[in-house]
Amino acid sequence: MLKIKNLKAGIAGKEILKGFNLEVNAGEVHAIMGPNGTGKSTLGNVLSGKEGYEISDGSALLNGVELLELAPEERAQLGLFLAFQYPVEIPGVSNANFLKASINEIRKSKGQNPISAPEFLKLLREKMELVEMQKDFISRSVNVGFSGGEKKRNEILQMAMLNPQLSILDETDSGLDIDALRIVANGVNKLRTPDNAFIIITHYQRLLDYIVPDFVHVMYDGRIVKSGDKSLALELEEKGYDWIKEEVEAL
Amino acid sequence: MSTIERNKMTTTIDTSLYSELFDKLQSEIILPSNILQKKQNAIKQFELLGLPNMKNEEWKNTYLAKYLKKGFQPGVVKKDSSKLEIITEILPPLTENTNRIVLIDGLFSQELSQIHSSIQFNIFSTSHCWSENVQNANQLFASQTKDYKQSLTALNTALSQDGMFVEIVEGGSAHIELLIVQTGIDIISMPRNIIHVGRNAYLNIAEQYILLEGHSMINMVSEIFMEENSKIEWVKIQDAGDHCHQIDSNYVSLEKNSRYHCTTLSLTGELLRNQQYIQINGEQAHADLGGIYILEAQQQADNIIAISHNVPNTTSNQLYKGILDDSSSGVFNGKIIVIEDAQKTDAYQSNKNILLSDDAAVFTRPQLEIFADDVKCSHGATSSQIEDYESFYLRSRGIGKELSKSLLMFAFVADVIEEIENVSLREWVKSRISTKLKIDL
Repeated sequence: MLKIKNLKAGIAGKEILKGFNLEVNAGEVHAIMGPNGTGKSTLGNVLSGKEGYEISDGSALLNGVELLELAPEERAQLGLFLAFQYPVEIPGVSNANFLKASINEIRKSKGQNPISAPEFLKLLREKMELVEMQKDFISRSVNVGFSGGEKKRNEILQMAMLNPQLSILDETDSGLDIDALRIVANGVNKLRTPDNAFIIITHYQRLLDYIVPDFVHVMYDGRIVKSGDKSLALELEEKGYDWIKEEVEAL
Repeated sequence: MSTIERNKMTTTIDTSLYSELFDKLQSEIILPSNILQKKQNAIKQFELLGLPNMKNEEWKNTYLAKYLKKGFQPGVVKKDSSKLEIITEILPPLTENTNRIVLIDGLFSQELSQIHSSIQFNIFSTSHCWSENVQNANQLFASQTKDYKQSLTALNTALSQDGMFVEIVEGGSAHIELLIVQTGIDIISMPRNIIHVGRNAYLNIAEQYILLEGHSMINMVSEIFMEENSKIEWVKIQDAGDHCHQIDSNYVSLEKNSRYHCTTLSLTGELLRNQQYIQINGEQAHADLGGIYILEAQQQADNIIAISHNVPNTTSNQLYKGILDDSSSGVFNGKIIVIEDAQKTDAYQSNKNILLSDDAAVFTRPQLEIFADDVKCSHGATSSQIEDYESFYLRSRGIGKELSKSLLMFAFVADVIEEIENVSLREWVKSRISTKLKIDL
């Protein structure tokens, strides 16, 4: 599904991703872990098309289509989703209107008609249940006055509504209490199918107790330096990241 | 050099035209002596002040003469019944329980206005008040404006032929739809409105402009008198195309515990100038002024505000948001005056702008004149762009660049809309802005 090859990207002349490689297949959950400042969030941003990054080399193919040449909305329309670490507040625009705009823009890109109001509401109610959202949420402005936990649950709700092929969760667990973490993880688990895939960027192992990954990668200095299964995450939790740094630097 | 001499030197359009016109007007219309006296005083004041020019602090960034040169002249507006039919066709559908007042080139249209009969209010044309000597109206006429040295207001006092008089009796309420129709004449129309809201009374006004054809200039003045515990909610929408030039001044006095809330939307027009002069004369009274201007091309929108807190324990709030593209420009002059005795005043002022183009400009001048020591006054002004990070968030949800920008523009002005308490006024504003931004909310 996703093939990233030798991706090199930076910002303001400073290289952050230094030859990043990763392959993700349908049905898989990949966790990307690593110390702060190793390029984890940059990876999510570069894949999603955030402006301001210089891409010097490499490619990122989603189902054979080069993502790096596309606008952010085109990537989303192809089935890529980024759950933000810091979701944006949009006063005056209700969650319902925002989601409808989003769904219809994606449908438009595929030459489909706008979603009907009853169909939309049915879908929204169903997905709201998934992340345990209160009813009044529909008319509230996007993320305005939301607690940290609500904002992250809203990210998962948006993901559920847009039904992407590949979702990248950027530190979705940061700042969450244990209940919110459970709701978020539960939402993701229910959305897992053999046809979609997830990349979970996280600093801590905690989230991976709830969302069990098929692969765990350790990122350091702009690339993956170690890969393994879920036991690698437990090892990192126990031993920290210093031994990884030492291993890399010894090479 | 005296003020008079300086004005004479810098005024580009001869004011004597206006004085001659005044004489002509007075010979044609018979006015009660108190009105005539006020009008004579006003033309003298206008002659002293001259037309506003860029040396005047409040007109520093607004070149009025440039717009006058497009052919606008003072004159006596004559009633023209031949256009009634075509105007009827373009008026918006009438809503129930609403009193419709139609001003055509500044003249109150008896034919197109629809006033319900009610014991809660009296609505007349200003010319009716003059010809029938309606004392309630005529005593109030020019009683607020005379102390302001505003030459265009003085001109309106002198040359106004008509307008609306609205009186809400104690405990009464009314909804008014004010339609200001301009037929495209070169004469500057000068409607004069007098609004008196009695104790415990409520008034809401939905005001908008309609331009039939050609171009128009209007210099409208409203004097508003609010008694104890009264409340006004007023929305003004200026969206009648780029051939419109509107100078609109509200003079408001607030008695104890009254609440005045006026929101102005400046969406299209070559010159849209809104002036609000507020005197807070009763404790616990509150003035709320909101404004949204979304401009492009050469459009200019000015918001000139002066709020005087004259007694203790009063509050005011100014919230103005602008989005400016191309070479459009905006002026925000927000003055807060707190006199020595007006302790515990709480006054807030904010003017925020998004500049979408390098050629767009906004001139913001907050002015605080505070003579009391126990007050809370704050002001803030910013100019910024749409944040890339915010835009990225929307685009990452599949929303195209243009729609993302429009949604963020809506989000930027949303708090001004949210402040409008009356649901139908709020929804009206919301839908007009959505239409302007081509979004479906």
